[in-house]
Amino acid sequence: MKNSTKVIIIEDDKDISSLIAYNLRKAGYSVEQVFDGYAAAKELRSAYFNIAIVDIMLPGLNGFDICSQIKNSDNPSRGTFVIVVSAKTSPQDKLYAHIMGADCYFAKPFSVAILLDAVNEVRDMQNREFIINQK
Amino acid sequence: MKLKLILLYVFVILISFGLTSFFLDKNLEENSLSNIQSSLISEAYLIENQISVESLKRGDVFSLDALVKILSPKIKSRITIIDKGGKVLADSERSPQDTLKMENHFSRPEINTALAGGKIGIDTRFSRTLGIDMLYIALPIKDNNQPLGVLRLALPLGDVQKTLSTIRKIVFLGLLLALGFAFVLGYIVTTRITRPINRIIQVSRKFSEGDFTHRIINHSKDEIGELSFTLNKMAQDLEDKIREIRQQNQELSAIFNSMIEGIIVVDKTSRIVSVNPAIEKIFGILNADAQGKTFLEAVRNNEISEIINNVLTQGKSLSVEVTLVLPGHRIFEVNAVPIFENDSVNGCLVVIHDITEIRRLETIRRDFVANVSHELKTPLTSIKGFVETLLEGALDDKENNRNFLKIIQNHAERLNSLVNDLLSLSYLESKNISLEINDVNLSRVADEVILGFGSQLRKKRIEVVNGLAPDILVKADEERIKQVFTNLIDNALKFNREKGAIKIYSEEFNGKIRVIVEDSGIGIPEKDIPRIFERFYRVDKARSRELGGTGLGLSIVKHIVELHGGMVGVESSEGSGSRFFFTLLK
Repeated sequence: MKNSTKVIIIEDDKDISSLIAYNLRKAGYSVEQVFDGYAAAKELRSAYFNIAIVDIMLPGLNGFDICSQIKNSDNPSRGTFVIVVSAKTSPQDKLYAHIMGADCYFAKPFSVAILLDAVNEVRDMQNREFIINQK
Repeated sequence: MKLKLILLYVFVILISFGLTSFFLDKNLEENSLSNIQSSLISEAYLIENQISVESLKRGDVFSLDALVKILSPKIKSRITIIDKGGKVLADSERSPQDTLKMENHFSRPEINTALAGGKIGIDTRFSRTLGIDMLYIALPIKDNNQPLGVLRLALPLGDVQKTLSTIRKIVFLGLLLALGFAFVLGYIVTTRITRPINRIIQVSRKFSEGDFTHRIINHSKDEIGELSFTLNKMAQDLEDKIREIRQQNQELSAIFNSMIEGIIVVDKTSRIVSVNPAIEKIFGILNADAQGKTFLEAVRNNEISEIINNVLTQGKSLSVEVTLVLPGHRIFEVNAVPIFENDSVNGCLVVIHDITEIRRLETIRRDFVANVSHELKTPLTSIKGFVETLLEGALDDKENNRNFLKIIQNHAERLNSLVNDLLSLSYLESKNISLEINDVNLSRVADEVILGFGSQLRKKRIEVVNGLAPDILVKADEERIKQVFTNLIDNALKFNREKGAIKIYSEEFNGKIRVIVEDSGIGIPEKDIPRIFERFYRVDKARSRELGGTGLGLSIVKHIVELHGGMVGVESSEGSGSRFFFTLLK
């Protein structure tokens, strides 16, 4: 059940990163893992990802910076769907994340199944748009 | 004042004396004149009896002349007899020959009165004949009510006038004497009155200069005495009041000067009246320099100046939080209150409260809460996620299932140690903590702790040298000190290299024992050293988590040592190890 959707996981906690990666890979996604802000920025400049799963508290650039970089740059990552996964749960943080470009916000601890549903939904939506654009 | 009083005296004397002497003189003059008149009239009646009507009828000049010549020296008056036609028949001062040559006397007022009216005629006149003032009495001589002639007596008034002028002289002399006496008396009396008044003036001048040490000494019962008493009482009251006010001012200024809050008082034109030492410290200005300047001139801060202007124009108090960048980053709560006088704004009182520390503590607390929630949620996320993953089928994934369970175990342990550390911290921070202080043998405690790390030390092949002298005793709570050693050795172990070393030793330092835990590990970057004892501060977050650290170990060490009255510190250079030390009382 392989699909062509590419997901980047930007999360400094290796266990959480591998938790998400394991489940996405099992669902057939192609997954890239980076563990700090600078590495993420570099990766986003060099390749296009359909979906980015971003933690907020990161070493180097934080998740907000990554969001705004994804949405405001000329690099290939523009159009990437941004899912924020963070232990920060205050309304201010959520609002700020949306302003900076997050499309969707998951508070830790999250349910893997629901995160996977969200990713699948985004993939389906993006595929539909792709088909419409092709027509 | 003195001169006025004397003049008043003289004036009163002059008026009373003048009036008295005027009426006395008048009365005396009239009295003596009427006396002379009446005695002259009675003499005239006596003489009239002696004049024979016959000789008068006949005009017997000689017999008449003889009569007047005899009588005149006896009554010391001039006697003249005149017939009814006014012709002089006899005169005591003239010879009969001369008498006949005298002019007709009918027109003389006294003669006329006597002849025409038949009454006694009286007149006072200057006699050209004799050259002196004369009193004339003319008595009509009648026969069967028919006027025959006139008997006139004349008396020179020279004597009367002489007597009067003597009296006048005496009165005048008396007046002069009285005036002189009045002057002297006036001088003495006024001096007596003005001397205490002058003294009162002197002392009250001192009062007005604020010198209340003098008192007016005057015990007389009169008005001056009463005035002195009142003034003295007033001075005493004023002195008491002023002392009271001064004391209140001193209290106020003591409060003003010792307040931690900065206080600025400005007038209605925004000019500084006074600032307290706290303000001097905050803005680096001097009260003496600032006085009289507008706030903006003295302190170049637009925000506070705006607040003052708002308060002065609107008359409403304001409370604003102001962040100051210079001379240092500080946060102030600025409370500005208008000062009212007669319902109009007359100035503004600004109280500046430095809330930097409060804000800093708030930030720390907020950060701590956020950190705690993050630190708890991260392992929870892994546990929850992997359990879910295993349940969703990964349980059958032979390649990963054990690994996932290991991760879950790790995180459960991390949660456990995190909860333990948090509980320790909150216990150490609570005010009612009580330490069980005993003599603690440091070397023995260190040995026990090292023993507990046995397997981990062997695994990393790290050698621990306990260089603490076996006889060192410190006053401490043994369990807490054990925790200090545990956390420091744990760190020294975690951040050490393979086959590294840990040295524990002590030295005397200012009468205290300084214990050093030295490692040969990775060291701490210089920029991180000041914050290394903060809660959840980690040089390398990922590495710390990997090693199972909670980020609270050093914070707990710091708390325990400080509760023992000691202090902690660290010296480190990146790459060559760290020396953590703490002091304890012997």
